[in-house]
Amino acid sequence: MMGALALLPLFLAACAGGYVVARPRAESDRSAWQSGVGGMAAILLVGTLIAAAEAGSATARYIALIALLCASVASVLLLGVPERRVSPDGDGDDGADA
Amino acid sequence: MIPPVGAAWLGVQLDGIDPSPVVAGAYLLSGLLLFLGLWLRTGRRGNRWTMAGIVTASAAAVYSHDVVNLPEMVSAVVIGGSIGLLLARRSAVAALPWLMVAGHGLLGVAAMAMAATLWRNPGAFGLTADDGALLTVGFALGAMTLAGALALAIGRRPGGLALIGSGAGFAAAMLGFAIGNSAMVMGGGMAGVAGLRLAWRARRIASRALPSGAGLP
Repeated sequence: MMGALALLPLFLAACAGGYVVARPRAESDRSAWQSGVGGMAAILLVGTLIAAAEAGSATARYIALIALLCASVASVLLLGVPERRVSPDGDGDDGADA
Repeated sequence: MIPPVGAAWLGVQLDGIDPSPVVAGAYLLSGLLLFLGLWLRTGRRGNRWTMAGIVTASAAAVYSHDVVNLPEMVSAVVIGGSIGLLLARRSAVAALPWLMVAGHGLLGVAAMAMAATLWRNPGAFGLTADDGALLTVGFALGAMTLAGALALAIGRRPGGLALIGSGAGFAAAMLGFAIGNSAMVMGGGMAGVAGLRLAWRARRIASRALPSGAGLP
């Protein structure tokens, strides 16, 4: 808990930064899911990597690998989907496979 | 003994087996890149800064820990990344918002599984009984994120995306507190508060768009 308290100022500074940066911007023509804010939460991938690296027992290791698998899929989805080029009317796309 | 608060502030003394200033610097750099990504969020470039921040923090995490099961970890990342890439590249445009919802739901599952791993193996992470509260909050936030994603998918309403993103961010921050990882605390805090503010603004805009009722038949 002492360690958590030591990180509290960093957390509060990050919260203040997040509040200030998420200010209204009328000039954007990108919809909410394209804005890339969702990709920020993919930082959870770091925690699952650490959990998988440090897991001692067999059960903990399997659970950590499941967490890592889910976090990998989620990270690529949350960071990759906003990279798709979609025209403003919503029917164009540079993904040749779509 | 007074704990080294200055160093702990940067995650040097807390995270991992190797207390290295390089790792602490990489986590701080990652936090700055994530902040830049959020700052430039309306353009495509912002997403790429966020990617750079997450890759930096992941590399620092793998570097700073004594990884015993690297083949399994690489396999999980390659399989998961391939599935995600395939879905992100080949899905129809109309399905893209739902892929974002699914991504947040999977992050909720990952947060729950990570909290369960820490519960099963507290000695490896130096967790005390007090850290159990942080793990409980992280697990609960992950479960709420998953439930929110399922509710959005069933109700066919992708508008609540910012709110479930906020839940996933705060879950990451709580689990980051538990293991003493400064990058997770910074990224999770920023994602959580930014998601809450964006969700609040979207709600206000939606309520303004509705007719007030006065003058209606």
